[in-house]
Amino acid sequence: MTDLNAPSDELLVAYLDGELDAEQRRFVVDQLHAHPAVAERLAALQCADMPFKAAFEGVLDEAPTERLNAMLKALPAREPPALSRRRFLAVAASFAVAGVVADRLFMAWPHAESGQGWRASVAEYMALYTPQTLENLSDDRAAHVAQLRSVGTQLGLPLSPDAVSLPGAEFRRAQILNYDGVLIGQLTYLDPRHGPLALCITASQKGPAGLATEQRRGMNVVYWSNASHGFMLIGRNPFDDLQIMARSAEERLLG
Amino acid sequence: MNEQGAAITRDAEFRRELGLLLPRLWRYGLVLSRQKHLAEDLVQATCVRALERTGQFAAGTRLDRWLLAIMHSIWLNELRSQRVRQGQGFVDAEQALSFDGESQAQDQVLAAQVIKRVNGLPEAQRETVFLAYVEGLSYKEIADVLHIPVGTVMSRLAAARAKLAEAPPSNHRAEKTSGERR
Repeated sequence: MTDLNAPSDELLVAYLDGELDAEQRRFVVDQLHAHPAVAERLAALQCADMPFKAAFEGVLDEAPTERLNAMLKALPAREPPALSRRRFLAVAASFAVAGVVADRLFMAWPHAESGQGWRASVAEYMALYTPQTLENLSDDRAAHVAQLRSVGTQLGLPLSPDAVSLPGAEFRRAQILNYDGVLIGQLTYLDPRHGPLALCITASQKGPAGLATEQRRGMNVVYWSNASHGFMLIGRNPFDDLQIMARSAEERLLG
Repeated sequence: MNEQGAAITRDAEFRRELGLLLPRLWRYGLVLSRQKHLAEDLVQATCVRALERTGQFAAGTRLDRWLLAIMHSIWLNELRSQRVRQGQGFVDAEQALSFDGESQAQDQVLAAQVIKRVNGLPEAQRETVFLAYVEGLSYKEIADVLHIPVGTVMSRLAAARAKLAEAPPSNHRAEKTSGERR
């Protein structure tokens, strides 16, 4: 629009949204009557009216409402200040973990395709997990079956509770982490003796390789691969322990 | 009732209200992060912070607005900087649509297209459009939630509308483009 006095897009949109005061509204209406170009522009901006509300209504049904409610229920109650400080710090810390977890993975990810990079990334955020991180997660078998099916489908590897069960550790959650197009299945477990551990899986064409071990971030890692996928098991368990679990997983995942 | 008893009652009341808003909070988290697991982290962080700051919530104002503002600030200050970009949250939302019954299917196709168009907007425009046209907030309320001047709300909405008013890219092409991104 070349007319310097013509109402801006901002004003026209605010007019459409019913956000103008009486005087501004009168100005816009006058301009609409006087200049066909203004009316045309208004009509163009009005084309952007879409059924936004209805479209996003369906997204609400996808919310993991049950899990969110369980999470809320598990958050500690507020207590009188003198008593609550310790508790409060614990909660704050547990959230800091969630934030940092995401953080570390994103920062580390660019190196993921250079071979061992993905194990370094996984180690960085696993090092931040505490037993409390996993406390709120559901132990409902049906939920686990569904999580595993979804993760398995995305990785091209059928997964079931039996296939991924590890001796001595309780399965807690399976989720897909997707960073820059690299998919990682993260299966989290809680070992009552040594705390959180995870079995992580990513599609890999590097070919089969037997069990190998390494230490990262003070945690023990056992990793291996088959023709289509790379695996790593990471936790604070002793190596002997992890190797037993890894062998079991290796066997079961072959089906 | 002694003071501690009153505090417990208030806490229970607050939690009940908070519980009712969880799906909407999650949806906003998904619009911000475009990743489902991050949306969930955002809801949890928002609840933790809301519970520790119940004292700051002004009675008589709207709890949903207050919570949206908390989530926005957590996202902005703690999570967003971490290269969260091409998430798959809404791709999932789209895939989850089922196609039984013709009219229902048409509604769902339309819904998926609308979500896709909104999701294609730059983040600042995306969340402003969401708050205005999905959550139904006034310009002033959006300005409060996002901590920006009303003028910025107006320019974001104008820019978003100008972009949304352009002819949508055909589905086929849009998918191809996103498939090639890597």
